[in-house]
Amino acid sequence: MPRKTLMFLICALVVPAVVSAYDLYVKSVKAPVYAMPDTASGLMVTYEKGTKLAGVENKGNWHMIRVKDGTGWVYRFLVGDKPPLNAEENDALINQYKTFSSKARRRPSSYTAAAAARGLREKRKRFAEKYNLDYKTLEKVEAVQISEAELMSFIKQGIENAHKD
Amino acid sequence: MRTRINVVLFILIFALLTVSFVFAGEGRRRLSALDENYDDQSDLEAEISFGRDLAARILGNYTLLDNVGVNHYVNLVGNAVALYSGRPELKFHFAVLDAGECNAFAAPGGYVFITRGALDLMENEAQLAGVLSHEIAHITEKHIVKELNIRGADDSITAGLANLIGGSTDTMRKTLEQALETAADILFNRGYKIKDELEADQIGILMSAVAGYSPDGLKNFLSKVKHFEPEDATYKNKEHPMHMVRLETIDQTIKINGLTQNLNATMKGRFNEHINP
Repeated sequence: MPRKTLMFLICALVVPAVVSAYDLYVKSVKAPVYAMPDTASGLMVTYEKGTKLAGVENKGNWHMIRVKDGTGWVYRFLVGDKPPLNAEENDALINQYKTFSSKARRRPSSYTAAAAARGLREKRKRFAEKYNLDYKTLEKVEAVQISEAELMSFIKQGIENAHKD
Repeated sequence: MRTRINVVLFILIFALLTVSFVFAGEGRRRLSALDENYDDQSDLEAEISFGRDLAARILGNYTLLDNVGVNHYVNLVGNAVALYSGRPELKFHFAVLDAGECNAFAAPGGYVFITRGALDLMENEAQLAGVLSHEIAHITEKHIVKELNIRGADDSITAGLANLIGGSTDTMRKTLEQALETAADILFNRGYKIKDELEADQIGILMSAVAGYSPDGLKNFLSKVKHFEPEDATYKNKEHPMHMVRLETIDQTIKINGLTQNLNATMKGRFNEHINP
């Protein structure tokens, strides 16, 4: 076997062995990446939610990832091994739980549905009474809406005035 | 001579191949250990529905503070931090409980409660963000979900929950009721495991710091709560780590992670504007 071919093979095997990577996705709104596992070490880059990253190793609360000019460090709770899901997709689920009769409504027979709904209401009522569950107030809590624009404006105002107090 | 070199190179390649496979295996192992947060949609649904029942249980024990402005403000602070929770699949809800005791609760699925008594002890928004982040971390790390094994699979408690909504057997219903009671006992009496409490402290601090708040918020608040003991001992319970252990852990977390920025970002003015107008 020619020596050059052998050297190429060795290099091809050495590189992946040393820098084996795993996929990570940014799951928070943003994920700052630092030079070292230390926020005082300097911010290298900030990735947006959904960005796919290449993890190299994890250390405590940090993941080392590949960046353009080498490696950087990101907090583990800002990333995950699956692409981020969307909370809005679960709104339908919550709405379903809000209505005791929701499951019964899906049934084809309206007679069965009505009977099942009554049964479910009774069961849920007994369950709520027995364990003192206050769903009515919970729905008030869930009804508080914060729009993305309002939240962003609140955060921006906080950043601008952070050091004024 | 040439043959010998080839043999050596062959051995070398074989050794490297082995190392490569070992590393790749290690990468996969790290990956699988990485995200135990959710397995599939049914687990997520189970987490939310169980958390919803537990949140209703909390509200059954306490009265919601009748102040739209304060509740809205707490929602803004909580959601600003929750953007960095790494759980975008959850919708977080925050509410203030009208109780003089100093306490805070988290129910799986994104429900966070804080008492008026706790707010009264706070001096700034960084302290509020610190406490809310700690509670959010209990949710993101799924402390109750893991302890009670809440899952969406057919043989789990939450299949019982799904069936309860749709009509279940008595056995399943009893299992669910028992899980709900255990979760309530964790929140109201015995507390989280010490390691879970310390983990929530660590992640909470990091989360609020990334969101731009002073990393000292939680520490300053806990120091103040400690000062108020034993008169107001309701914040802690017998399994809560001693304050000193928590404060030391917080100090270490700040030091290890180099959280030296935004030390003055307390947002005291805005806090007073909303909480003490």
